[in-house]
Amino acid sequence: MAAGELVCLIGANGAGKSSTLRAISGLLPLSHGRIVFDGREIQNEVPATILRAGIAHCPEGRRVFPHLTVAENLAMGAYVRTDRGAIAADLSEVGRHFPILVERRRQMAGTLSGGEQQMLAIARALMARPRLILFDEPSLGLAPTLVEMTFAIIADIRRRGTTVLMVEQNANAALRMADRAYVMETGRIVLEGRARDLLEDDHVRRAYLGG
Amino acid sequence: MTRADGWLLAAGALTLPLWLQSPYHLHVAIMAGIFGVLAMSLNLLLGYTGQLSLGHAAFFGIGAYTSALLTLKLDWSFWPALAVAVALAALAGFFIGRLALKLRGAYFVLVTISFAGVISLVSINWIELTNGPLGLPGVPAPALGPWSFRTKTAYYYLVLAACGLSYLVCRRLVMSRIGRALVALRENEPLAESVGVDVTHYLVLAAVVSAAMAGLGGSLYAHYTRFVSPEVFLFTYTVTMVIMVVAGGKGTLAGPVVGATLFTVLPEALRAAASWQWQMLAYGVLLVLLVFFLPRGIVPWLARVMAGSQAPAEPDSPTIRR
Repeated sequence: MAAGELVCLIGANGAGKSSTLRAISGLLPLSHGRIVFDGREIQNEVPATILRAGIAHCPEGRRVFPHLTVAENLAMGAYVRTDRGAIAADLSEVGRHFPILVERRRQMAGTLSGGEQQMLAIARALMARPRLILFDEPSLGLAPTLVEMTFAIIADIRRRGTTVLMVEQNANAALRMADRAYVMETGRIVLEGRARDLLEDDHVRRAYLGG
Repeated sequence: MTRADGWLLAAGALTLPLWLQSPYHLHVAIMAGIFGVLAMSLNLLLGYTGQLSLGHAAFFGIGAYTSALLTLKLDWSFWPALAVAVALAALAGFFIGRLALKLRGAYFVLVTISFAGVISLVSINWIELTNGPLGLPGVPAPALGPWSFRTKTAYYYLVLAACGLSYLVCRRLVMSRIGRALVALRENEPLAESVGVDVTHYLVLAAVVSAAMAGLGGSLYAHYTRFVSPEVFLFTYTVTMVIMVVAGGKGTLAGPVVGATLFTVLPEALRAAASWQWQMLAYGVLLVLLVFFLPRGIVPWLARVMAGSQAPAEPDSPTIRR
């Protein structure tokens, strides 16, 4: 992946997409192979080190800590950082983009609406000041309007210069916004290319775009 | 609770022996204090990491036996014996933590139960050391310089100090970055991992601090009753601790203290009020009602009542279901 790119990873359930992301962020040990970030091999590092190197992971499923406040959730995003001044600056930066989170900063994250929780999850990932964000199924379980909002936020993050690697079931939407894409089947990459070309590809259309 | 309420409570606790003249009432207060330490200890694991230790009596018993043996057989004074008791319990907590926290949930429960079982068997069968089922009588009362903690009033203050210390340790831990990491782990482990929280490190830390506090409670118990037997490992002690934590409010700082006070005083009060058959029945019914109507415990309920209707709704349900 090149800096500033938005790349998506598509494929059927169980193809190994989430595992790929988990391996990159150090949550899943690697039996063999290498992961290189910024010219540095990171396959043997612990999650905290990888996070410090600049890779944040937005996992799928439950996205926030429900019994922590919004402010505490955001603080957890900067958990591995020690540069207090910069954290405070990033916090106000995040607040500018998501004013609703500032308004609700004392509220328990579990009491937020689905859309607000999604914003919080993304904002939390940004609090690590990543250069690469991994999104695992960002649209999963969200109402259609929220899916749209989520993709708009992701596109915006990328416009501001952060590299994005995204795993997404909704291949159609993902391919429309991505620069490049990889197609995974049973743990291997079977196809890669410019997202625009993959949208036209027969195999991809049949398997993932519904004809 | 406001600051004024806090001072009032502290003043009440400090002057308690002045208006509780009967030694029996003071005894109940001391036991409540010892169980307060134990409940706070269990709460660190159960309330803040979400792991249920059903062998917590083991750490309690290790503290009690260590302290008793060192003072009886080696003629140590109470204070170094107490320190070693706490350290040994902490060490046991470390090993249990390392061993068991790779296996979470039900497996953790099983490992802690078995650990308590094994330690209990050792205390019964290693007769040369522990005197077996007969136990160790004559554990000396602690002394500090010229003062002895032989009287109930003096011992009450010792226990109160231990309670206060435990509370401060818990508070310090919970309010810190560590506490937030623990809560994050309890709430959503994959997410906590993804923001860089080292799971094993924090769970073991919680187990060590928790076990050390249980050891403190054990040592205090041994030098108060002046007698230690394998009964300290009884499952009843663990269950009592669990009841205190759950009823008081797990995952809150004040919950275990409130639970410990209530569930030490309550059985005694019932003993005075009713014959023994009704006693246990009333106790059971009360427990059921409490869990049924206040499932989160007394302290969270009180907090909500005092906050009035402005309190935000409980964030119960995960919003995203698959």
